Amino acid sequence: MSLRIQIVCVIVAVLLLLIVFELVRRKKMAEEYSLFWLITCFSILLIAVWKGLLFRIAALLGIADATSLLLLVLAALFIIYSLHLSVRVTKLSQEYREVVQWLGLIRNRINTIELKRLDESEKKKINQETPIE
Amino acid sequence: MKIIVIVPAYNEENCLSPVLHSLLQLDPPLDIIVVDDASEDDTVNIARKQNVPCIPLPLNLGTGGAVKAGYKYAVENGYEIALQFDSDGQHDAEQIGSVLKPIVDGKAEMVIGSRFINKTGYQSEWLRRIGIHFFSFLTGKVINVKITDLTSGFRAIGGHLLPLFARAYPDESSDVEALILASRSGARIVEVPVEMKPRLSGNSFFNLKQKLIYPIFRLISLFVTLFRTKQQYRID
Repeated sequence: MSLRIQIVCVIVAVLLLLIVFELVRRKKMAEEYSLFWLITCFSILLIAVWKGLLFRIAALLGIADATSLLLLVLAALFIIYSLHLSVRVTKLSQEYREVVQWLGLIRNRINTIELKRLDESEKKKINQETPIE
Repeated sequence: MKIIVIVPAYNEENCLSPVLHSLLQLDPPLDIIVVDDASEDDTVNIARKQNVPCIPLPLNLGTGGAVKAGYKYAVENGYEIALQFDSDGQHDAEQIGSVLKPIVDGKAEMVIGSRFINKTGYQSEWLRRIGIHFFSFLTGKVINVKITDLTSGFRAIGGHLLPLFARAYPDESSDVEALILASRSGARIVEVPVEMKPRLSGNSFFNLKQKLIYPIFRLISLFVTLFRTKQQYRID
């Protein structure tokens, strides 16, 4: 790994870290989801700074080309994570649809009750206004 | 039998009033519930002005979600049959009797009003017609019933289907999946001929993007459905 690539990796990791930090700070990303990104950033940093780490892991697994190991791990990680997110989004949208439906039903019920009350108070008014003979 | 007419409506301030008027003229009278799918126009007030109860959904869910809210209302209020009726003036209130009849007679749990049996009245634009024929045929094959008008919003359900649909009505590709769900739960499904009219005014809620993408969603859902078990459908 050349020094240039190392520097680029560090810059990318730090930038990503800053973006994630800012997103969490602005509450655009929940802490729950930031964890994955934080781990990704620190992994990139670690691999960039600690030159031998990647080669050592590759040798351990019996993979000759360390960069292809890196690509493989990254691709697998992101594919699995986006599958997980799709499942989560589906679940959220199912729950949200249920909630919207119940809200509509409750609003209808409140409206019905209010109308009934209005009716009754008007009847009372009329009864009070017309003198009983 | 307690019957309710569910009218899903999205931005139908121009069409809803005459539609409700024709429904209110029915003899014997039927209970009506309008489900407002978060319209930006005056749809809710038009329903209220005519003293028709209205479920105002706070966010837009599409027809499937609106109808499901209607089914929930029907179950909560002890109705036994629910009839879905479009708010855009395409359906004829006079024909409600013939759509309800198979359920009232105990011959079916689900009835679809089809414009393609007698082939009279409004037959829809050609591209959509091809799509409807194609998916009707495929879905019909899957559930072993001859279906001609899959997307018809003029339909009625009764018996065990009402509580089932209130709980598990499919969110996406509702037309395909609802039929398969019904069939898997053991419901008898029939089609009856109806005549439809072109919508009174405004645009149909299908746009180009939906025209291109919906068929793909339907294909996926049809295929996946073949491999679903009863438990996955939450039938019991």
